[in-house]
Amino acid sequence: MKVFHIFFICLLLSVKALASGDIYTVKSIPEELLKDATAVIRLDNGSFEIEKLERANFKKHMVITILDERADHFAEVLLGYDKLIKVKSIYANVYDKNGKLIKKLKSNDFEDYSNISGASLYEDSRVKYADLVQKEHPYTIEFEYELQYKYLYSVPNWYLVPDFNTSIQNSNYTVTYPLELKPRYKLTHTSQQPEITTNKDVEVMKWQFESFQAIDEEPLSRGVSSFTPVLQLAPSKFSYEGYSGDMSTWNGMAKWQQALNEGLNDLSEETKIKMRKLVADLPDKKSKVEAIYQYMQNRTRYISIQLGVGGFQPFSAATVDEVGYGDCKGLSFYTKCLLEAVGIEANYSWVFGGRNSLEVDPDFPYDNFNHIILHVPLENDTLWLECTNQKIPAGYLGGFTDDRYALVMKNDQAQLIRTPNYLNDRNKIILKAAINLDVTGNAVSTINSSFIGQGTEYMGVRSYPGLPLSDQEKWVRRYIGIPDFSIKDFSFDEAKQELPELYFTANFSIRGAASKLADKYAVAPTLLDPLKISLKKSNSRKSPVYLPIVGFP
Amino acid sequence: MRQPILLLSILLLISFHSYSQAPEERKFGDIKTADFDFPTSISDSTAGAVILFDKGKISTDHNFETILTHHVRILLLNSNEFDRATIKIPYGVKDYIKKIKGSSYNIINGKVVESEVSKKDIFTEKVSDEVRQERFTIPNVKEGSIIEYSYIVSHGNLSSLATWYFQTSVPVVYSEYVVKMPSFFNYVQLLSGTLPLSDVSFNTENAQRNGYSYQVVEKKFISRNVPAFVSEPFITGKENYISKIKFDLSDYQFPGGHRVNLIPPTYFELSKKLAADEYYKGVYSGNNFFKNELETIFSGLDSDLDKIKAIYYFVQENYSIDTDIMSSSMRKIFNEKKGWRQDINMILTSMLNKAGYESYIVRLSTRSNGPLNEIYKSAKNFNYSICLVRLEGNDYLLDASEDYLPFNTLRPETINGKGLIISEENPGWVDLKYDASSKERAYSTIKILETGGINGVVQLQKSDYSAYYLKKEFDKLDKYIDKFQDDLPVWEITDHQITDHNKHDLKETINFEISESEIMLDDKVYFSPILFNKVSSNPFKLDKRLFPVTLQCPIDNNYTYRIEVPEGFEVEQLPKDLLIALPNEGGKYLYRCQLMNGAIMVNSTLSINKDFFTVEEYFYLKEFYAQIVEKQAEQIVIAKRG
Repeated sequence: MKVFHIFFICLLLSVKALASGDIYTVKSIPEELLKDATAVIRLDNGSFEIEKLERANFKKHMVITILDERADHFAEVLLGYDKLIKVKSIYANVYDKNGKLIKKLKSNDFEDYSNISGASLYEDSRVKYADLVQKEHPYTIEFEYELQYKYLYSVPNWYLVPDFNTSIQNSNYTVTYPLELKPRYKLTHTSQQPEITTNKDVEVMKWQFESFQAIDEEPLSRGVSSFTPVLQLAPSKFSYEGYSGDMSTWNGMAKWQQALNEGLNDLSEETKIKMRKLVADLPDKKSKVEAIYQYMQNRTRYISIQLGVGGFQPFSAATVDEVGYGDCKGLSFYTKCLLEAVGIEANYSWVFGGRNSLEVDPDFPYDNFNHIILHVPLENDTLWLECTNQKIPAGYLGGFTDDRYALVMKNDQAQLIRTPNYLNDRNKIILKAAINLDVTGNAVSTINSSFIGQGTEYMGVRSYPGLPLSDQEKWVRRYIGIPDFSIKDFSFDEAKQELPELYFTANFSIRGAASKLADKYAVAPTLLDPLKISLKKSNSRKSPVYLPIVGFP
Repeated sequence: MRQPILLLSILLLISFHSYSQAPEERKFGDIKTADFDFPTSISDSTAGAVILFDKGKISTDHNFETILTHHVRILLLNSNEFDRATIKIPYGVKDYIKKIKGSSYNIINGKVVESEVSKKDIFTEKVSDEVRQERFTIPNVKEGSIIEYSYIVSHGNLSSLATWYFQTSVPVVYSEYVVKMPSFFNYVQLLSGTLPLSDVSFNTENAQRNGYSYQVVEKKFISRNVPAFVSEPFITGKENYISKIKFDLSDYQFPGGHRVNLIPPTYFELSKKLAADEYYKGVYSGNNFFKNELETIFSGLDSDLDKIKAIYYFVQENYSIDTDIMSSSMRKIFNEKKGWRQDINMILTSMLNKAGYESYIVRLSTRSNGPLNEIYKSAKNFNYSICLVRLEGNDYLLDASEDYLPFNTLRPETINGKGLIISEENPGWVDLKYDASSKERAYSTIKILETGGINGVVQLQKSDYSAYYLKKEFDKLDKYIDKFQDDLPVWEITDHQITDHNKHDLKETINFEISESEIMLDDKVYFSPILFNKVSSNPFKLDKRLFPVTLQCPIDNNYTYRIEVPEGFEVEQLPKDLLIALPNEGGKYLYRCQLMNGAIMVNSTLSINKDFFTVEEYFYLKEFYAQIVEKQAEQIVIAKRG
């Protein structure tokens, strides 16, 4: 009977292998997954295993069929790592449409290069890269890698849908952990709870998703993960390069940052005295903050250096004072120390700069931030300071960090506070144009534009005053944007105040401003209207419409 | 009593001398407060930075490796130029870099204060297995600061010295390049750009190494008060217009040895020499691994021309560009189906040869690489290869590296003078010229409805470059259909068919409607008869022009519209006819609008016959397009008879 038993198991195994087997041929893709799809994720298996506080492993195995060239980007495999993340293994395969293996890459076949982002002076981040793009479509790529983390700070989020026009056949995510290091999770755009199994001290959470149809890309959408399932995960107890903490409360994060910042306020007595002199004659707290902020802006610039725990720990205040540069952490911390030297409290604050498809949830504390700003309480008001911009007025944040939660840290206490929004009167562009037509239909025109608040970010106008004439002229040509005109003169002016204002004046002549029609002239009254958006008709809009406040056209 | 006066005058002389020393002659760190003033010799007072000096020197080290000694001093005026204070110097993993220094200078309380880069703040990036890069940033940089840095790095090799740019994106007060090489090596220097040099000097000195004495030749090139390079639209690439100097090793002779000439006396000699190279021999002999492929490609084809076309399309469709591939092994490229553009054309030539067709590699210099140098016949003057096939007395020029490029058509980037046929027996030249233009033909029938709306059908055919550019822009033609509709928001398109005809022509049929609410007012219908593909904005915007204009390719467009006016309407106004031409037969535009048998016939014909226009011709071109924009915006007025 024993022989039979083994035979049965073997049979079972081979049946199972067969069932999950054919994910390499195109013909085995279910019909419904082809609609609107340029790629089909045949398999996306991820597993994150927490071994202990200082070690975790992440394994990922993907099989993707690329139906046409618009999805070729999936075939450029890019894996980031650094000194604290080791690549334990990686391989990749390419199959033709019939599932025949046509290319095989071992770990050594991957290119390896440094990956310092454009804004950075130095980071130790590196990438493994392979270009698996094929000219003949469709084709299927497969890759698998394993990373070892020498820390536990985050648990990778799981995005079911990586892109528009991409359907998903199978997606599985497992998280394994010792009970005392159980991570927390939050479900977004899905209600699917994980299946949890326990084996002694180790527990496993598992999510499985199947057959998710592709979503056709739509204009003015905030990105596919703003409405498709995302699993957010976070550890409670965590440790990074010897600094450990507890992330299950916002205060826990403040406590951790406090430990990192400990002893870094080493400003010289000389600088402190200088600050006191600088503000001695100023009437109120606000003008003192403004003076110190401006002092910081005039003597520093933004240079990013990210090394190990330096990704979270600022340069010491004296270092920034000496070299005159720093990143968001360094410059914010330095400004905080300068303010403290004159007895003004400023709070180091975590915020997400740029567009985040996952908003901060007060009930789910984790590090969903990427930037630092300062929060300065005034008597009846608050001043927020963006310390990496050396041109903007004190208190102005702009579109990069507006209208969102910032994690404001005061010693070991943290509080989520919303940054100001720039709506209505705080985001305005006024354009007044006088157009004098002559009988031929040509015209001379004078325009006066005011850009107010976030309006100063429109077409990047705020960076143009002070630039060389030839650069300014390029902006003027884009801004006026009518078919044929020549510029006589133009000028910029600005008012640096908490809500900045910028003024632009120009004189120019327009050719063919009006066209003659029998007994009439036709003039387009919107000749100079910069905001021309036309929306396509759609009967089946799936994603919410997202109107960026500035930045278009 | 006389002596002290003499001494004093000597001292005065010395101090006067040191005071009068030009800034570019001063050593690292020797900065005077006057250096912070905006240089009077620079005319653009709005510049965000001024390079006070930029000095480079190429010489050889004790191993005869070429090294670059570089020293730069910059006055930073606007924070937008602060990136200049962050320096990245790449070098090979087997090379070295040394003596890196960097400082900023600021005037504080009337004194010049220096801040140095400390050694610990210089990072070494391992870019890849082969490349390292030193990265550092200069401390205490503010608007008005001077920054300065210098270093010595292994750079290039004896046969390829670094190219020096006198001109940059900001003005330069003093730019100096010194090439100091043992006299064994002889270089030709190629100066390009529109600015003359201020000073050139040669100097010879004796040197000794390991008991040998030899001569060292030092050449110095100086350019002063160089304005910023500002690029203009419609140029062949900034490399052709920026002021720079390039060096090419022409010959060498070691003591007791023969002189070795690297640059042959004629291009035909060069062609023969190249053809004798193993690499070309391999291309011309054809490779056996093509055999099976060829059989498949040829199945069902009889005529030779069809077979050649089939090979061309096979290579075009199956090979893609990959400039990361460092090998030029034909087998590897064949297997990977990826390579540099020239490698893809090597495959094409080799396959054609294997199939028995007389075909050659043609080397050429692309537009962005500049005109072919007629004086120095160096192989380095060429940077691109295409394929020439000869069949029954006809020459066909092929470039299979570019998707959608029609047969026997070249990419405009490669149409630049003439190309050299690489052959041991038959070296020769081929003219690189346009056999095609961007050609469009359209015939539209437009019915004005009694309601005042419009019903129309457009038959549109795009050929040659027009079809190629469209397919290149829209990999998928349905994207083009979307774009076409997006550009014409008042059109209600009921049907839009597009077919790719013989990989050469795109044929479109578009049915559309325009609602009367868009064009009718007070019982009158107003619309421009140029209903689509209108030239709505002048491509030549700038009032000043420094460089000649290079267009992509000639244009040949002919659009005809027949507009039917229904009973009960009368034509109130038609645009006047227009015929304008560019000087030197550069092109013409014809617009005709006439009432014939109750229908308005409109014809709009644009032809541009050449791709190169001088600076003087630019202003004609600008005016030419201004009139086209104006004319095409003009409207027809049709009134309902009351």
